[in-house]
Amino acid sequence: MRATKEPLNILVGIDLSQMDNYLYSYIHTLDQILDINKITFLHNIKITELPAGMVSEDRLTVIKEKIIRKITRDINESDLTHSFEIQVTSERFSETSFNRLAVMQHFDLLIFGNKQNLRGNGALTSKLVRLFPSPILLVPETYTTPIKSIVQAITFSRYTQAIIDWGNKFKTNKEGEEIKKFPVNVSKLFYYPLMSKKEIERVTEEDVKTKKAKWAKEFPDNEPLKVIPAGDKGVASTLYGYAMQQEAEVIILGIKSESKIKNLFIGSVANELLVRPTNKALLVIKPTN
Amino acid sequence: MSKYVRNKNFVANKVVFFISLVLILLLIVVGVAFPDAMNERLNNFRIWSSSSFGWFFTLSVNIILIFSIYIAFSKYGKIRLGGADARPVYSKASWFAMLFSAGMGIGIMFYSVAEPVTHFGSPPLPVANELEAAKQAMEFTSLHYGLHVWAIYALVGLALAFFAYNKNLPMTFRSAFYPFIGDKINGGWGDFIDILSALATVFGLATTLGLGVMQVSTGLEFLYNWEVTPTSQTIIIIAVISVATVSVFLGVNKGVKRLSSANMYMALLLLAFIFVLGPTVAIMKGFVENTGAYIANLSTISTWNEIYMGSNWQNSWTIFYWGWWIAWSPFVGTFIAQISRGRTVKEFVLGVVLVPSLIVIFWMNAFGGSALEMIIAGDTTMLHAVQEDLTSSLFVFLENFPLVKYTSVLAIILVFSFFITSSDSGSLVINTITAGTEGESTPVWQRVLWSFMQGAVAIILLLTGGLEALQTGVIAIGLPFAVVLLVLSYSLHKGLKEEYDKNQKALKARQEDSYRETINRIVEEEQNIE
Repeated sequence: MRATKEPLNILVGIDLSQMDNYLYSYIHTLDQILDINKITFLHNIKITELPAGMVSEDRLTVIKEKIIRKITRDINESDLTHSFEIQVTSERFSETSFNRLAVMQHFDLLIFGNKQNLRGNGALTSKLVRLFPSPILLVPETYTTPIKSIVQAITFSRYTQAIIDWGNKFKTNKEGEEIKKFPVNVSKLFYYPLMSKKEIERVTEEDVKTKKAKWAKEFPDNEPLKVIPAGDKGVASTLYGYAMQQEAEVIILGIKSESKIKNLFIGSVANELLVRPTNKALLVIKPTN
Repeated sequence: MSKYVRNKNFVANKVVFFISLVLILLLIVVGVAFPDAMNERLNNFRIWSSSSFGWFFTLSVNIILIFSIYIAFSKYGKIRLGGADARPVYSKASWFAMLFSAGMGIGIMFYSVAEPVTHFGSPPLPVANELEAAKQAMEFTSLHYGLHVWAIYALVGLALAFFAYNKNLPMTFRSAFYPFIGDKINGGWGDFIDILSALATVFGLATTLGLGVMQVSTGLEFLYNWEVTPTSQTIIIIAVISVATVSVFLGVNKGVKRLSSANMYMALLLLAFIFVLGPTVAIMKGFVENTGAYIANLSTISTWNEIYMGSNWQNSWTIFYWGWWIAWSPFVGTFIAQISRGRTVKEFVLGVVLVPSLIVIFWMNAFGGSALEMIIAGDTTMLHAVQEDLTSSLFVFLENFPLVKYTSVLAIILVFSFFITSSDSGSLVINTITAGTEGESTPVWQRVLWSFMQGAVAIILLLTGGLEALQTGVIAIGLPFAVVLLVLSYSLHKGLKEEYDKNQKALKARQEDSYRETINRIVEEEQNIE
């Protein structure tokens, strides 16, 4: 990951649906919080879903022009005031478009819609969460602003520093209020059915104490770590429950991939948060090279 | 003129109703008029059909098992019975309980001790010592009650449920052939399929009733010295059928349903009794080891065909069982289909194949495994008793436990009540098939008729040739029905594929339409602005 001080290059995936308008507004909100250098909007024309008559080269050029014009107009009509660039491609698979662009230019963040009630199956989102090299911010159309607080899922893994760094980029919101950070760790004992209640309490207590001490020692400049025992609930549910309780608008978490080959997979916690109905934006941190 | 009659006194598909009735009556008349000749013919037929077509039964049931597993794990596994929005009516726990009750029946009362002990006494495959004989006995018993059986039911249940819930066809056998023969299901072919499934159900039930009456009469002799005679057996069958039919007349169907749940609890009570007072650890060890050995040797024992051996052991056992279960499949399949709306295909197949198989195999290990444990420990009474009279095995086994008087009575009551509930629900299934209707009520006399018909078939078979005649009956009907099931697999696969393709196409069309519309709209809008 690049040094945190540099302004960010952001790529935004748009699909010409209603979702795009929500994204323009959300990026405007982000623009008042983050230090953004460049915003690129990308739409890939789904040529496989168009009739043969529409995908000839000439016709595609015309369609591309019109799409660029339409997006430009929509953005100009939105709250977004930052300068931007628009790319319209016509790859067979949309993920190829995103990855090709990421090879040519560096992006610090990819922003994508996480449709809750709008139509869409989320297939491209889940592919990009797995395959795109940079962190991805998934924004539901049900998001809430202003951003006042952020929950950071701490696992003491190689994502932890990146999660802290990303949290630190969110300093104050457009109202000038400081954005609160809630670093949290979920303590889950997977072997608890074999233990007595007392033992579980003892082990959990120990786990909480150890993690808090570790946090204080390794990351002393941050907010104190909250460790929540999951009990028989899942890690994702516990994490989400905590974000609800804190009324956080954003959750930052690691994707949980440890090696190159595992980039193809996505952690169960990230996956569960991705598929559950939510009004929180999810910032999924990817493994760094 | 329509073949369907729908009036106050008669509701039927006349073709199916009368042909099924005439064929059954023919068998009964021949049985009464020429019992010896019929016995001889039946016997010859059994030897001929099982020797000539045993391989076909073996092949068919294996194809059905492989097909079920394939369907569960294929892309069709996600298809939901009743459509994407359907949700299960019953919770998983009660669904499992109902599947469990479907697995309970006279078979496990009659054969749970008799079968392993018989195989132990005369091992089907050569063995070096009694330990191997015991293991082999349990493996074959597991084969006859395990995965293959439940795969047959899963196939039939799935086909009935899928075509009824997803294709809105009536829940009868002919509906399952829709993708194969199309609208012909309403014509001669459909009638033929329904006649065959009605006859299969009659023979399957008659066999069950026959085995039940043999066991009850032996039990009564064992307890009260009541002599087993053809007359007493006939009286028992008529009595049971009368109880079942009287309940229909009095409108006490709820009573029979309650009896059905009571059966499950009584069976569990008997199982718990044997488990706790019997060799508990040995039962558990046996269950684990024998199930493991059964799975490990599944491909060998399930495809074994007695080649190069010159024996015909399989005809009285494996082939009989395959015929019996196949004949029984419309009955159990209908029940399973009725309780499974809202399950996915994968859930359905895995639930139906695994849960009852494991429970029944556990039962067999508790009873049969304990019996073998006792024999190996030196008590050979059971071995001799079984060799002398198969029907007495359960009662001789129970003698090894305290309170034998009570447990034997409980066992007899259990067989009796299985008897009544099977007869009751069986006649309902035959009635539905021959009436060619579902949901519509039929006059009570029709159901009574089918009740007595199955009883009559059971009596005739029992009196002409006993157990062997019962076996012949199910093998005879099981053979053509096995062909029907193979065609059914093909038809079901075709139906599932059509459903899957339709869903995919609809999804794609929805996406394409909407995306294409979006692009067209943008191009148009921009042109207007220009």
